[in-house]
Amino acid sequence: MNKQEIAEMLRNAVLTQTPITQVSRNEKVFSLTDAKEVQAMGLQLALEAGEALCGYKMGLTSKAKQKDVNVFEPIQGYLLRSFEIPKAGVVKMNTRIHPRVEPEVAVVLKKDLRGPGVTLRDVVNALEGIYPALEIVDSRYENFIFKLEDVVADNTSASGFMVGRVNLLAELNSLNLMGILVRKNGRIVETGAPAAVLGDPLLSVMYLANSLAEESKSIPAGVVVLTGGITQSVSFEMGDRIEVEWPQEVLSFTAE
Amino acid sequence: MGLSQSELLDIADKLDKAEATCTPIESLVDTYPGMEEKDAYQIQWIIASRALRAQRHLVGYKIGLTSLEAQKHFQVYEPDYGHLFDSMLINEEGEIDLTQLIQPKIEGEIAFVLGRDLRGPGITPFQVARAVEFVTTSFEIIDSRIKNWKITSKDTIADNGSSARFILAGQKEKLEGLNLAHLGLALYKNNDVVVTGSGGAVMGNPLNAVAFLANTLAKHDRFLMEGQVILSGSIGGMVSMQPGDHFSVEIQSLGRVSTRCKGR
Repeated sequence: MNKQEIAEMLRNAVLTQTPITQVSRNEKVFSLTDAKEVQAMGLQLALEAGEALCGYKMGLTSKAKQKDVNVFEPIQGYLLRSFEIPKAGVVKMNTRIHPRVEPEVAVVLKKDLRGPGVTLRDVVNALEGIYPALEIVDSRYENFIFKLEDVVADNTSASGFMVGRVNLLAELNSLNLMGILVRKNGRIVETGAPAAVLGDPLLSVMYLANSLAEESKSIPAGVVVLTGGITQSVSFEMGDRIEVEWPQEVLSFTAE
Repeated sequence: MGLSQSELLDIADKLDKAEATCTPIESLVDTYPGMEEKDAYQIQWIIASRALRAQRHLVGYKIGLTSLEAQKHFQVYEPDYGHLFDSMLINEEGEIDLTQLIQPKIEGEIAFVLGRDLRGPGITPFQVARAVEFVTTSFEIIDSRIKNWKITSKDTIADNGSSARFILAGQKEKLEGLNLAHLGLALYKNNDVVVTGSGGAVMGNPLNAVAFLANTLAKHDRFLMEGQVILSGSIGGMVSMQPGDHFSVEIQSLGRVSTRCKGR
């Protein structure tokens, strides 16, 4: 199968909610570079279908998440406007395969951040806001099992996101140790703190800026950057109520 | 049916010896299938009273099995506790001598120091809050005396909650204005974040765990005393330790403490 066909197969899996076999299992040679090209082709297909790009997401940035999938380097994906979940909202199960949720820090920039050579200080100087957020991941692969190349081709399992209202920028110094609780139907199932993301979620933004520079791209002002999962992802089923509690704000949804 | 007094003494001997010689023993529940939870606590108390007779001082308690994850793992939906003796305290900036331990793991916790006695039954989390002098960041080093950590909850209760050492941070904070459930924790191993969590991991709020302890001790006519330390339960999970490893843990508003492992 060529890369374009793989991109179409993955998009079809999204549209039909039908999981597929790992690409790496069928293709003799499927490199990380190939996988990135497939991801870019997938974005192109979405844009041609009338979707809009609205941000980026980082994946595999926490030890817990890396352990989860047995992959030990950060990766990136893109966010489409259609991924956004209305606040206090509903997550549709019939457009997804086997979704999971994880708490994240979302970052919005007030000016473009163009690598290479972006430093942590550059990120801090470009910040418009830092927001509590959650991400829905939903692998298009059977049983949520994949290799690094597979998940990169699959847009790092991106499926949905919700960004809070409270700007935490004034509390930047205490961001890394804000205590976050994830509740499923009222019970605490995960806890964590933003330090789980590379020790500091702003490092995730720095990494993204420098990685986009390899394709001569920048992080544009105003887009959403999801910096990476803070806890292990939590699976949910139809009817489940999920709450992600930050000290400053609770993000919640019901799976319908 | 439970165990006989001589069996209880026998098991206490075995656990004492295992700790003293750093030689783990087989699971108690495997060897004594009839062992009940009350037997396990009796064994713990026999060991604790021997420690007191050996001129060690009871300085507080640790609470375990406080997270839903740990409770699910052991299929026991209630916390347990162990005794803390002065001999287990490592001073801030002190090192952990791994040659004295069997298979240690380290975890970060919120520690309480009481400003007055807390006597159950009927103690609420609010009464706990009023009795707390200060809270701080702590490390607990746990070390099962049972081979390969193949433990049931009864094994760990008999084995003093698997407790081995503890370290308290220098910072001391009053409870006023703090919401312990939303204090984040990060545990660093050799400068990498390996665990994060939030105080709510401990029974929704660590104050609930201390109330549980006060009320459980009351069933045996015991109480928590002014000045005692309570390690309220693991936040985010435990990490194994090797010689040369450096650990630090920081909790929002409560400060940071570090230690290094030496030995072998």
